[in-house]
Amino acid sequence: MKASVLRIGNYVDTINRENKVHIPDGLPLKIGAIEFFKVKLYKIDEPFYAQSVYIKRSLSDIAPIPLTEEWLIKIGFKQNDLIKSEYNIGTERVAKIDHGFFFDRYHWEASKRIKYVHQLQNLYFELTGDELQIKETEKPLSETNNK
Amino acid sequence: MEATELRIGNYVTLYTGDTIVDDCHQIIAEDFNEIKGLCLVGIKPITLTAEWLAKFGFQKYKVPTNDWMLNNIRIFSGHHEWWFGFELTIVNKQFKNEGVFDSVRLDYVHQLQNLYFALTGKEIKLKK
Repeated sequence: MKASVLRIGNYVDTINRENKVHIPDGLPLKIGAIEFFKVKLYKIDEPFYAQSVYIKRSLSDIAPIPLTEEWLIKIGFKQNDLIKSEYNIGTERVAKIDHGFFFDRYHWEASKRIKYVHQLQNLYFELTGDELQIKETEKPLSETNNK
Repeated sequence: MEATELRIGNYVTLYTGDTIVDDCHQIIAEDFNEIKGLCLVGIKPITLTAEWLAKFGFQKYKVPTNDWMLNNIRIFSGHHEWWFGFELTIVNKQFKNEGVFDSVRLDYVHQLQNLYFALTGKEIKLKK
């Protein structure tokens, strides 16, 4: 992937180079830092402040994650009760049309095709100032109570 | 400013202490080394102005208004702010329906760069 398409917080996949066929391994991670030709990747469900363990990967060893209905739910969209092919957060909407996903928002006359999770994260952030993210793991109550 | 707002290639102002080192700095990977928490040290956003729109190649749309156009993008001027509009006249695989995307307030140059990229997949570049 090109570094210039990424922001810190984007979700990406890593490419498994151990097999003969090099394909994404389906274990998504979160961009924590962007360096020369490399990125630091963290677990997706931990807040940044808690992250001490990371892996470094070359930009050529990460891949965009194709957007799916499962990913829309993961990052906070809710399926529309009446129109099952639509997913909403507030005034923002993603609709599945002809095997593709299209994003729009209230009052927009047109919609933008979205192929990858990071594209949706970035467009949503630019429009709303909020991050689309997987809910971070909260500490178990027992751990908090013991302090 | 927060590192999560920026992409490589964004224009920002670079500071050392209170002194401006570069008022048109383009973010490179090394800049992300200066992170404290998620805050980028010594980097501030550039306020969007008519001069910056002209630098990017935007042109005044109609004389009575202060709107600016570049390809399908129209920037509307408010009283003290800019509003982003995307006027879609050609439907291709990237979009569905014709029409206008509108009502996104822009305060900074990097916001314009990132929104333009998020919608078109192309970088907005300084005019030579």
